[in-house]
Amino acid sequence: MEIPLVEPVLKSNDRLAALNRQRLRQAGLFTINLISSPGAGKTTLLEKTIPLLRGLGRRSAVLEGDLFTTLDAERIERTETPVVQINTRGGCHLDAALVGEALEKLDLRALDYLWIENVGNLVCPAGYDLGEDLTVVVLSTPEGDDKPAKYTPAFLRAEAVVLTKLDLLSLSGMDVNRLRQTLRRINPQLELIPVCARTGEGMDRWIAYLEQQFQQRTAIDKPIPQTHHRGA
Amino acid sequence: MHELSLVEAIARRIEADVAERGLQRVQRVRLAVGPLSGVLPHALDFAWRVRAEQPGPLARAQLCLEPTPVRARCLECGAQRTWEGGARLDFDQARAPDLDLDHCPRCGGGPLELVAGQELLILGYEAI
Repeated sequence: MEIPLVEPVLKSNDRLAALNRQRLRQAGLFTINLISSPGAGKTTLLEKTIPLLRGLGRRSAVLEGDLFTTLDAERIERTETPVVQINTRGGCHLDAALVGEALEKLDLRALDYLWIENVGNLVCPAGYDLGEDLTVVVLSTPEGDDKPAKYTPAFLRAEAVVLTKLDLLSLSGMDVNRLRQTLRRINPQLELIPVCARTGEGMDRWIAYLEQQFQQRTAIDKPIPQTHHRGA
Repeated sequence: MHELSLVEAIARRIEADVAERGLQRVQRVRLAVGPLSGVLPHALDFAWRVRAEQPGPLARAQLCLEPTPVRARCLECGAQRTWEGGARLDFDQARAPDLDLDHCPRCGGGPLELVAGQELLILGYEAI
């Protein structure tokens, strides 16, 4: 007997992600899913980004996804930021259920930005919606400009690419123009933001981009103010 | 490597459906896989074979992957463009380098919006 189903394999993950998204937005949070290869500089980027946002009065928390260890969570903790370690114990990506459990450990009302640092992996996390507002791929100059062509799904999912380790650009053979062209073919709306977290180069544009996105999203969620009727 | 958890999601969904309908044994599961789904077909195949060694309604069931093309629609003129690369689903050989969503070959404008190619769908299954 032939039984037709026709439904996404990740339907139950998508359902949980929608619940996460609703919960996060109701709490007024702006959530970013950071995806990259191992060692591209996600944690370093966060170590530099979070204090800059704090200077603007924005409070961040981090969900730290790693196969094993709490090394990255310890680094984030040193920036006096609430952090929840999610150890996948060998699992190659975060999913919406893991994120939902981790949210229980945070005071969501006391936050503006929630950062989800995914497991370092440019392939597997791409298919898993976590409930984020923004997906950002972190790509470092030594990885080369061919990555978007090789790992297309992550770049299709993302709204922005942060190109890190600009200080290594001259040593790396990365051609930024070629990268820009490849990205435009794959995802014409994608924003490319080159930075060097260590020297601070480009960080102002990254922060401005985040704040613009933050304000756009949170403005949508705010209830429309009632028209004030003045007396005649 | 996420193919392991994908296979588990597929297996659980089908097992639940089989139990609901009071069926006994699944012979074949059909899956639509887009070249931009991020799935390695041979890894999916391997994970499935390991899962199908377990006793239960899915024991010895086959997994059939049906490749789908990549399709995009021009947001300016509405023309559809198809990249037929579906027959070769290997991620290394996927047609992504050819993908150009920035220029429409018909009107010269753009961008194009992806309408197919990222899907990973359980199409259905055969059971007794």
